[in-house]
Amino acid sequence: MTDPLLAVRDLTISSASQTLVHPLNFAIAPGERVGLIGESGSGKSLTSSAVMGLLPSELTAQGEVALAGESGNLLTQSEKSFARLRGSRMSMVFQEPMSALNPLMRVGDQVAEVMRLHRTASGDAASKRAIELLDQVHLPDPSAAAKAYPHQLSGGQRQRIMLAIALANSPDLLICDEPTTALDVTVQSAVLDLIDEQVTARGTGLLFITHDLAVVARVCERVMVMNAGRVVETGTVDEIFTAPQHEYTRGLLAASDLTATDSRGRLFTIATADQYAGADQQATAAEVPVTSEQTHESAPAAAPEPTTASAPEPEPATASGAADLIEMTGVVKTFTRRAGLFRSHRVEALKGIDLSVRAGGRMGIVGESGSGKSTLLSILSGLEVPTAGAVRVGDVVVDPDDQSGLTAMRRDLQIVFQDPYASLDPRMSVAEIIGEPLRSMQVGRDERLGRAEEMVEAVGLDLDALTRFPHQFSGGQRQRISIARALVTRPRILVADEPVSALDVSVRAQVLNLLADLVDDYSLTLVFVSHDLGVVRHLCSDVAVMRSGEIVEQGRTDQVYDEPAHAYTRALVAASPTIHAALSA
Amino acid sequence: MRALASRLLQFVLTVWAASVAVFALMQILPGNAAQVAAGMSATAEDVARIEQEFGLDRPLIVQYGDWLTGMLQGDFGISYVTGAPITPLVFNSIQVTLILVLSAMVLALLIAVPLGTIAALLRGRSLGAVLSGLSQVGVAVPNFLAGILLVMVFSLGLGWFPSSGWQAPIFGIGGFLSHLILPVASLALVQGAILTRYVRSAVLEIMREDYLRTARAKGRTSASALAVHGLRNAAIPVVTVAGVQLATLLIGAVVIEQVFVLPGMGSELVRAVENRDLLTVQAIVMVLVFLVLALNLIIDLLYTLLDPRVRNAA
Repeated sequence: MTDPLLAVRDLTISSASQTLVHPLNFAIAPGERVGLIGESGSGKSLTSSAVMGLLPSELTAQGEVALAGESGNLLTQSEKSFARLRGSRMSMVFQEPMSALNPLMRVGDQVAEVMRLHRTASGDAASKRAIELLDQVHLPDPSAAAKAYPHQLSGGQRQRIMLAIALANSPDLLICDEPTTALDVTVQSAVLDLIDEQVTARGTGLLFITHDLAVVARVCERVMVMNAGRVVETGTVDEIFTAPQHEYTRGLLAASDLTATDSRGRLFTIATADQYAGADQQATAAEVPVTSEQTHESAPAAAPEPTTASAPEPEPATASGAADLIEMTGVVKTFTRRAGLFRSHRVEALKGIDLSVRAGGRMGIVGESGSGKSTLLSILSGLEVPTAGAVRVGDVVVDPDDQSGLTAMRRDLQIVFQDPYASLDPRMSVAEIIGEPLRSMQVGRDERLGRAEEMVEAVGLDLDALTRFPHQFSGGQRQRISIARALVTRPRILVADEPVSALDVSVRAQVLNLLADLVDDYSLTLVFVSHDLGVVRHLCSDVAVMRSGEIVEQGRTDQVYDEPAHAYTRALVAASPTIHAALSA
Repeated sequence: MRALASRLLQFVLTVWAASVAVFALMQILPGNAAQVAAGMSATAEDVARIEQEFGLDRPLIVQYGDWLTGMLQGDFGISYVTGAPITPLVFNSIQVTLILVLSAMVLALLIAVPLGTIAALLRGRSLGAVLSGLSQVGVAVPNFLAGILLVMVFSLGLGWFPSSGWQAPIFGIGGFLSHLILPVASLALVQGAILTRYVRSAVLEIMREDYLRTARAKGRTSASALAVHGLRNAAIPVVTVAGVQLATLLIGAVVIEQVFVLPGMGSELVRAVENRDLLTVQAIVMVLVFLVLALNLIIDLLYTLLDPRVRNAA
């Protein structure tokens, strides 16, 4: 590489007490697309912030960052001359589309601002150019969009605005920090296409930061793998994904591959990665539905029958009649939102859901945000009253007004929530947290402690965890605590609401394996809600696909995934990034 | 537009409900207005005559209707005690109080916005800590104590400003201002200290926002990002607090008018209570309630100007 666009030499980032990024060296050639992957805390975001000169003031960066055409080390420049480069020669798109735009300013003005600031366009010309840019990022009706405020746009639309801002002055380097992590899969796919298209059209160099290996494989040519503040491996996408050299890269790759399982049908973790054959080998193996290996009871891959979306026909796994443990019939939920003194408008969150899960079944519910997944779970667990329809769990007809029925139902049905940080009371010890569901069932103190001990061991934590508090645990450990709390009542049904979506890839594999083990050991019936099709495919025997309050398709997992009958399911499956798809593309 | 109409309707309904409450409270109070007006030695016939004269023998609903329609035409009636019309008295004293309260709020904001912003920017440095400490002290000092201290220093000590009294602006702006400055300062210093803390935390909050980082990524320095994108966002929580504080300030003015012997609504209210002049008390309380509600309305409207999210949600 003779003349790199960006050269980073011996970059060290440290806080007052510790070094967060150890001497780091890399270069990006003009127009090259480099991916930086790693898990949370690996230092990948700090590295990109340092290159942009956007580090929080309590952190310091040392070393050298050089940009072609600029003399000297960017890190030693004054804030003012560094600021002159940002938004003109190098730009950045951030992770959080919801908070990255000024809520009080029209988005068109926010796009025009970056041109006025660098004097590439002024006055009306800048506003006109902003509308052109909104058109380039494929916002429908760009001149109307320019007048909108951020809260009037969806997450995907806001991310398009961010991209328009970043590209307005045709920078030489674009840095994307997890730009699609907060978006739904179909939206993510469209935004990735857009980044791809715009970067190609402008010949912009790209530094793409993500935890998602499939996304990197799709967008980038070269990959750097970062772990604990160090780059452990660098190579082309092919090299990294097919012949990873470093142990950590292999572990990450193995843990990300939801189609690859070990001899017990469990996902690979960093610890067991040495048995992982690699993404390319697995690509052929993946065509054999892996899920059927774990669902011991399921019939040998039943001949896929064509299903029609309008009338979900009885599926072998869900229609065992009397054996159904959960039965929802015609469930409708309408929210009435007041707007002003006299007006109100109705939102139909669920439009007549029929869903049954037989005892021992593993039902996955997939859908994008706003599809009604969470409302469905709230109604199933008796937290919300359906507007119409009935829910039966075991022998109990769920009715929020029937306290004794609810108590009986909750003994049978327990929930693990999405956010491992917010769903545990920070002032309760782990023993109290795990024992709490037993309190409402009038279980004595000694027995509560005994059963908490039993559960802590079952979820793979040490016994001394019982006396500690949630903040002393990592996200994965907290999710184990949540699972222990859910299982302490010895329920027959475990409901999991996106239990791994907040976790890093390597931790995700461990928690999914734990769930699979516990479901087997305790003969649980599982209802698993996720936006991630891969996770559901791995864990669930059956799947229901939701969109706008309706189940558009349901059936055996492998059947739905391999031969989706509904157009939406097809779109969802196609949009879900997988390493195999990205490598074969 | 519809939201505005609905907010205005809400305001009118609240004012009306308040008038019912104020009228009812005055009726519940022990003591008979006619008895008071007639004096201690009056006979039952005197009282009955006065009741008839002022219409106090009519049903309450008619009396309330009379009072309400009078007020709508700007007429608060005639005091049973002094026999003088109440309206001019209310009108004169309201000016004093409004000038006092509004200048105090403006001065408080002039103190709080720069100091709070500087305190936020200098967080973790010694000057920032000094500013925070000072505002802490200010919060702890009651209005009247600040007033007395200011009088001791600037009036008794330095002799720069008069210690009490009021001069209307038509008799000379200089005299008006010099009478005004100490009472306004004693309200504003304390209020400014309170608001400084809110401004500081609002700015600190804003500085952590993602969109300020976006502004820097666009090519702004931290200072210009804060000035262009931060301050208007920070203004929203500050306006909320300032609105609540205006009501507090109005109450504070009642005390400060006593300290500085100003002919404001507070002084008139205290005098009317002492004279058991119930109709005047009723008028002043109603005007105070109206002012608080009107100020709240203005704050709400300001809010919709500042924040497009409120505009759309309403």
